[in-house]
Amino acid sequence: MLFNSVPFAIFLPAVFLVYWFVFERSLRLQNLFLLAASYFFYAWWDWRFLSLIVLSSAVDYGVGLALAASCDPRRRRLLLGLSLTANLGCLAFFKYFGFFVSSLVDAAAAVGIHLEPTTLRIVLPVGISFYTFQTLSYTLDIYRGRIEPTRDAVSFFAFVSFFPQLVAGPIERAASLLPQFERNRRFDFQEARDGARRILWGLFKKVVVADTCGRQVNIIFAASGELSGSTLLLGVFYFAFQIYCDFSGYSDVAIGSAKLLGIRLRDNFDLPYFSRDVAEFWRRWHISLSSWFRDYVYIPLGGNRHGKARQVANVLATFGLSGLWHGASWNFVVWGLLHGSYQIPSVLRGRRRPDRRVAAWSTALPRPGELARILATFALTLFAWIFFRAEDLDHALRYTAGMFTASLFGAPQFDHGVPLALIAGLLSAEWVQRRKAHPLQFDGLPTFLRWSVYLALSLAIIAFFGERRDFIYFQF
Amino acid sequence: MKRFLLRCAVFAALLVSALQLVGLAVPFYWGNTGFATKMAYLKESGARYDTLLVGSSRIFRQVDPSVFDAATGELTNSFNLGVSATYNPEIYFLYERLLEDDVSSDVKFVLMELQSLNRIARMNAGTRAAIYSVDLETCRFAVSTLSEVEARPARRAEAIRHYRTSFLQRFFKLQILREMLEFRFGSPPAGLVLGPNRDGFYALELQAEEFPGRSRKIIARRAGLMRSPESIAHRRMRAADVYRNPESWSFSRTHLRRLERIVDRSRARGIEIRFVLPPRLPASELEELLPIYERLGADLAIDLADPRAHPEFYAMENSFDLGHLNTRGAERFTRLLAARFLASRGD
Repeated sequence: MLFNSVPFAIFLPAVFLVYWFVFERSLRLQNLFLLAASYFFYAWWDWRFLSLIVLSSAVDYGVGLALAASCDPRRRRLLLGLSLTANLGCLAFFKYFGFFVSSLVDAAAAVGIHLEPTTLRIVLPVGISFYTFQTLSYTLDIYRGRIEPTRDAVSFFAFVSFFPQLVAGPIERAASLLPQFERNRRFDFQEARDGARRILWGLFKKVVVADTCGRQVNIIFAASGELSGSTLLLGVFYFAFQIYCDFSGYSDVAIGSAKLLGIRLRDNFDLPYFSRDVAEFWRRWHISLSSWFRDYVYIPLGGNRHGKARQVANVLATFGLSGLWHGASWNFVVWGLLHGSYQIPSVLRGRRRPDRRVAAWSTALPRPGELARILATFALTLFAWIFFRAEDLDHALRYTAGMFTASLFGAPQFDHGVPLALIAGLLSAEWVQRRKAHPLQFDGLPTFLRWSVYLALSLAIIAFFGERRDFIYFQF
Repeated sequence: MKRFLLRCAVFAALLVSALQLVGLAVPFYWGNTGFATKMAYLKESGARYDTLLVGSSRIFRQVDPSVFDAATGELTNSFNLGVSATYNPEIYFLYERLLEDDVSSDVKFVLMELQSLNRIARMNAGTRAAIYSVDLETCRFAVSTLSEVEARPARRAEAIRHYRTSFLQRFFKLQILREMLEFRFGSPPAGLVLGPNRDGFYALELQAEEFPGRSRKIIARRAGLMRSPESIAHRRMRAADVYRNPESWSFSRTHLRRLERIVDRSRARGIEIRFVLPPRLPASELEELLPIYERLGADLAIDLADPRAHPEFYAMENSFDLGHLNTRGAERFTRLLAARFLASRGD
């Protein structure tokens, strides 16, 4: 069930009403209902893959309890291995099997060995990259003694499968989300109102901005060999906003839906295109995944504790893996490595930006130097997006070569009025409201104005609601 | 909680009201480009016609107003308002609203194609054409008619689902709001529907000759007939079978009542209406239409679909494709239609 679909527009209010009106008095029934609703939500795509979620949940629930009951380091390692094997095994099989086989065949062919691989048509279960990471972090945190395992199976299964964030995150940690399933929840008007606004803003970003940009992106990337450099530049520019609005829009709807149910999810995007360097970009882009890789890959690899050379290697390994997480293809790995390499200069300088607030926090506009850094960071991410969006490495290289020609300075082909106007509107709203959690937090405005904005956004969503388009991150 | 739900309800009401206001800002025919083009022409040109020819491509491509007017001895001054792929119930939706429009103020005669209910094919579900005319009344009419005439449960259920979905999409303007706004604020529609004489008639052959690039589907249909000319004989045989076997007919009282209402409303506006059964109808449509035709009677309906009475309309030399006549066939059909129209008036 897609967030930008009529079934979800019926499903969410129905869940909301039953959840608060029928089951408010019983936490256990509320959790059971959430579990059933989440499984229904997932089964809407393909009920057969529910078994994978149940398996992943069951393994980590059991491993968690067994870890807590055991002091034997060897047994604990074995239990952790079981969880890693089950979760990463499923991920490897469903997501990476074809990639590994084709890479092996290519490598063998390079040294003159011709293999005849058996090809399997494996369907990628929606959301597998997200829920396996979520349930894996639970076991890893118990193993490290950071959290205690839960004995409440319903809460745990509901935590793993919680429908707002089941298929595309945010990837939650057990320490923050699981306790919310274990304590009574009360309806909060302010939270619910903010949740509804966030859903509205998320749908606007997805349906209006992302899908409009997406149409241009598809045309430009499909015909990249025949278009001018300036058109190709606009193509990747649109893709930057397509993927941002698509994924952050999904996250907004997820966070908003959870708020309606009295549950708080972590923010997943925080104005990434206003970042002043690439490290900051990664503190603001797909925050739940970045922090997951930081905590469970980068730091265990040694982080910055073993000298500059090791730190550079750790950064590259972490970003390479992050790229591979996004897709079983070498262009995703290159995308990740590009982002890793962007950070090498600051790693070598050892410079850390102490200011974690968004640009121009205390001024209306950024200072010239700050603006230059924002634009440079955006340009670097833009270049990397080519590798993310292209069909394969070869396409990405051809696209890049086609872009950096004399025609880069000519007039672009096609009409770009609507998508550029939408992007300008989006950036303006985000800039003006950059100190708020989202642009629709404008309680100081008169009610009439606020409601006019809600109404205008809703009408825009309905007007742009055309052919159904999946969220990009579902494929990861 | 109550406060939140109340605000949600108020907002939903405001949103629905705004959507309905948009609906009021566009004319009733906005979703049918061909019909909109002809209506725009009628309104802008100031041309006045006393006879309208209404229906799908079987009217648009086969009834030539200049031939018709000549055959009626200039009793009529007609305009072909037929548009390709404009079926029942859309045609009834358009016509009943047309009666309230200034365009129909001088109209004395209407010849309307009699059509079976469109099932909304799966490939068309969710399109503007399948949505824009399905208001509550149209939806109810379609569901009721389908319950009476569609014997295959799966097909009936699917068609009913499509109509109900179309109604909800129309109500909430889903997938059509943007097109409505574009219609309202964009450039006027333009299509090849007015024809060379600006009387709404455009023979298939002529369009294929004059605009081959925009007539690829038409040309392909012609090629299809040339590849299998026996398909006409098959259609003729199947049609004759339906005429011979009334037990195969399926009658819809709902459909008949709708036509009777159309007759009454037309009369109230001083319009004489005749329903026309054109040739080349598939057997499945005839099974639905013949019982209606019989009940309407010869005063109100003209049957030119019977291959036993009109074999010339199934002759290859009068054919363009399987479902349509060529220019020559259209001319013969128009003359005969005019004669039958005069006969129905007692002239």
